[in-house]
Amino acid sequence: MKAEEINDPGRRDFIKNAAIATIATAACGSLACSCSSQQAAKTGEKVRLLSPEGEIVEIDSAYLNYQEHMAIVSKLEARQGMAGKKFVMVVDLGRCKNARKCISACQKWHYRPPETEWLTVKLMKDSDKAAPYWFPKQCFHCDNPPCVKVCPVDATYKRQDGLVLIDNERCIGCKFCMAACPYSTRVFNWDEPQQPLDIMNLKSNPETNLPAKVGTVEKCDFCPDRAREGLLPPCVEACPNGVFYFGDEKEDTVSNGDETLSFTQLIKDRAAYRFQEELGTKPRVYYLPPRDRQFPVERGYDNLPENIKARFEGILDEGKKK
Amino acid sequence: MGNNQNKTRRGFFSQFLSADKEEKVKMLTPDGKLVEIDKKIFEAAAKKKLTSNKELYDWMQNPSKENK
Repeated sequence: MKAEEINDPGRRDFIKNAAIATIATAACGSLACSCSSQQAAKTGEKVRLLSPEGEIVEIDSAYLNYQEHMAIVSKLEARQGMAGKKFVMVVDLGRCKNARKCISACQKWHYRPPETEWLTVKLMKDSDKAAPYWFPKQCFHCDNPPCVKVCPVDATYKRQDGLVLIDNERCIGCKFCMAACPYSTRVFNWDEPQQPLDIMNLKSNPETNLPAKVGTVEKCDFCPDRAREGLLPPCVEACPNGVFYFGDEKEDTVSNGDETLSFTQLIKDRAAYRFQEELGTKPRVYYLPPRDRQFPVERGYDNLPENIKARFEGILDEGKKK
Repeated sequence: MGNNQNKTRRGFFSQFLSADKEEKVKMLTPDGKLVEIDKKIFEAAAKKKLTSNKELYDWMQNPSKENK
């Protein structure tokens, strides 16, 4: 009984505390009011908002509270892209040894299964007598993209920041874009995507195409969600040899995580080229020719799974015979 | 006494203290973003008039409209 009496505050104490709290709240309230009225005075910009009851109401933009969890990129923003940016990638072929770290990083970031490769590494050989070399290839985000022109539902689109993206909520899976792309960089979701439950329950994000949808086309997106935060794509970060440089053509900088270089100087000094330039698609990915190679091409077979090794057998064996 | 708390002093004061909590209303911007605003501000601006389909179509900034 005594313990209860000590813990239970008396009426007098309670009223005293309540009175103090009331005065404090009133003081804070008047301060907040004066602050908000000052804020409202600062922006005269009116925003037309739709209420849950279906009424359009004009509210001063000072009163809008964008919640962190609600700050998802809208379809309009996703379509328009980032203003003042022009993303570009440079691939140094002399450094690639088919470590495939870029591929696994990409698959992990986009929650894709191992058999789906938005980024692939091919074994290229320019002529019979030339030595083969490893050639990473993903969507080139062309400035003149044939895939965008053929899409009947406007699901794939070109943005002002140079990216070519797919809205998987609009995609009807007709595969016209896959047929039109001369680089075969697009993949089709034949099966129901096996993604973690928390990803499957996400509200669809037009920039990341998460959650993935069965019967739609996918491809490399240059990770615009990371670019918005000023981060490099996972393939660039994961490469142990600094093969990929990613950056902004307008800022004239590209970085592979270790070094940041002038984009124009790099492509000029190293005689960069674009894959199948003659097609007129104007890709946004530049290749530095495989000169002064850091690794013999055979190193690309180290620790390679048998099913992947089988892809390249013909090319290397042919070279050995000659 | 216990069942009728509003009539006690404690009930009266606790009601008074909790009345200061701001109620928020979720609303949609023309480009499809969810925002929260103070209910008092919303009620002051609302005209209690239901929007027509035409007004709603004109209000939204839908990318598909640009191609029409």
